[in-house]
Amino acid sequence: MMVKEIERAGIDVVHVANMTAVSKSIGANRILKAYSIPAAMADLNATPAIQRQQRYNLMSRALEILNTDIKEQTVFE
Amino acid sequence: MKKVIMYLNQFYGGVGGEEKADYEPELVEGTVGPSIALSEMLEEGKVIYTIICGDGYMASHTEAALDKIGELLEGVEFDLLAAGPAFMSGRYGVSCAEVCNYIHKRYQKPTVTCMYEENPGRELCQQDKDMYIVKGHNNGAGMRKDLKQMTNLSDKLMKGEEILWAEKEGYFPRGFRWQIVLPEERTSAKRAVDMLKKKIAGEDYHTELPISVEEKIPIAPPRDGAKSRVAFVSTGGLVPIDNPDHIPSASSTRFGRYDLSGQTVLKPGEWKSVHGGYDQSYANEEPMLAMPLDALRRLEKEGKIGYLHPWFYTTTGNQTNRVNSVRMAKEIVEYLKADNVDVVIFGSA
Repeated sequence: MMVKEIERAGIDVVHVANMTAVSKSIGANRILKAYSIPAAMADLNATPAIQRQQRYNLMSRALEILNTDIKEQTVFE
Repeated sequence: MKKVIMYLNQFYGGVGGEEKADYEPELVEGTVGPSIALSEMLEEGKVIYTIICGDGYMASHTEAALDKIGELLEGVEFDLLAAGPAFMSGRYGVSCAEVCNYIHKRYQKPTVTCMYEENPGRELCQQDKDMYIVKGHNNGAGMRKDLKQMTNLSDKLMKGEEILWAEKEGYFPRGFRWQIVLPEERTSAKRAVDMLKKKIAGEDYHTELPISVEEKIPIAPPRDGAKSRVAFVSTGGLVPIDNPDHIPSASSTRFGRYDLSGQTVLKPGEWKSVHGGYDQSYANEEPMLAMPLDALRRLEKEGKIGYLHPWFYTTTGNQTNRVNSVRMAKEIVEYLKADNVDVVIFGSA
């Protein structure tokens, strides 16, 4: 609900979420699959160094998605 | 005597709380927790097996979880699946919906689940002839009543009785239309005039043809992050260690706004998660699993993010209702607009 409301205000949103089906049903347009519920931004079993890289890759991916032309609600894995 | 299978999450299945959210599907012979009560209330059948699965496992490994349930049910004969009630728990509601969809597709058996109207699982349950979501309460205090409603509908299904319309039976409308003769003679003309009279008198009236108003927000064109002003907003429940704004663990009505100027990392011990819907220990050990500040700073430094808004906005997405979500988002938008932010990366648990 918050994502949709922020988009309604004219601010573009990339929604990083684990439950992408929920995100889609609520109405997010650009959706990026997160790692898990308790640890959205990296694999909780990975080493700190790998997690750091995963976070960076995930946020880089979010920026790519922001810059991707889509015609309908899209989930990026 | 008909045979019922019941699906429960790890909590109601008695396995454990959040620390057991990754629990893989298990088939228990007979009844556990709510399936004991359901089985006792049923007239037409008994619960013969209870499936228990962690909400986190179902959410993160849906396909594997459903495959496992399929394996566990190999050779098991049953007549109906009951799932939940899931109340306002988003993950549990989604799990119930996934399991109902899977069971109905694979075995063509009727499914009955139950959840609160704002549960996101509602939207995910397929709308098929034999699939019902009973209107449930928003927390466990309504367990007994919810189970009773599930029982009534399940008994009717197993008896092969006619299931009447949604309002009459207490399930959420599924959008099917069919012809029936009403018990008392009230033609559509009479009903329409009654409705009109009520409308003129300023009384409550209910349309028989509700029109869905769920609107889509137009998709924004591509945007270059390097030329954007970016903010990070989260419903993951991450707050400063002393939780100065008293952000609640569930049903949040407020958000926190924290200045990260000059900071490049979030340090363990200075932040914690208050989210009551997942195991917080990972985020407590490494707050950047919820808010990736180091990555955002690095992208800002590399010029891939034009400008990073210095404030971090955070609340708890756990069981937070629509009204409060919309209001908090509007309040956050005011802050963002004041700094000409044009992009939000939004992190959810």
